[in-house]
Amino acid sequence: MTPQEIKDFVQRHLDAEAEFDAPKAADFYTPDGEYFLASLGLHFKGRDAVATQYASSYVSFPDLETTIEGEESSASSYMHWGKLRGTLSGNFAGFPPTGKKMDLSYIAIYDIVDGKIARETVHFDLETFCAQLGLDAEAVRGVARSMSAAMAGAPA
Amino acid sequence: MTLAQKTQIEAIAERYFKAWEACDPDAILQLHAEDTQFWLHVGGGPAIGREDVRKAFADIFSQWPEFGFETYRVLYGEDHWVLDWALTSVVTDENGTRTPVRFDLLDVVTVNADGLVTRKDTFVDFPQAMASGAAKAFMR
Repeated sequence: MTPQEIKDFVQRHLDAEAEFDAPKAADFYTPDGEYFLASLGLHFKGRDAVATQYASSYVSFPDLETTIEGEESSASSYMHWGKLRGTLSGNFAGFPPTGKKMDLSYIAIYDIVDGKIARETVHFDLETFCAQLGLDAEAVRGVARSMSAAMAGAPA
Repeated sequence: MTLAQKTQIEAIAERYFKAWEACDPDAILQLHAEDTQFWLHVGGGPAIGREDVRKAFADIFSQWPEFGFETYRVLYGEDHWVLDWALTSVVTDENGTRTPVRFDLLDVVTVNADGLVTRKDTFVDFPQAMASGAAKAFMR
């Protein structure tokens, strides 16, 4: 794929995300594709796990909005960065909704293999995320560590 | 992006990387604009202006002895580059035990028409930094 083709391909994936269509968004991944939430150290492996991750985020943030401020692509990857905005209106990793809003910087990287997303990595500042949403960062990290350990033992 | 633009941004990035390799905040700041901004996304806000940014970079070299970096990839745009990299360092505890540290980061660096850096955003793989025992340095 050319960088432009990769960009267009990921844009279709982002359109599915914007429609809150988790299975469709996950269909853009390879069967063993991975969504890596770097801020929490969580690896969601396989389309089903990726779809579950997207669906969970839509439950947590029903008004989730991504504003892309910049992007770049190569022959095998695509990155975009900007702002994540949303209100914690649903459960998040076992924490109850706080009704507070987030507005924070992020960067996302997609590694493309055979015309599909083999890996998406998302970074944001967990400290800022938790402070804005009224969550205890250390408690969130603890839950993330438990989830990570549980997922590491689960089949992809 | 034209070939000339790509060559120009790559040349600017190359000078910038060399200044970081030299761990020389003054040399790095020579490549920054007056109204530059550096934002290390680990809980705090951005450092704004050359003096504050210079101090932030000096703090990094102080916090991470034997600072080094390994580049995974660089993507170049018309007025920016994205650097996917790992920071390496050696930290020494109170007993004198030296421990190598390594964790991944992502930079988005934007330059102006004069080729000077106006903004550098750095995102840290914090769980990885934590696992390597390096996270305490961010919490100082």
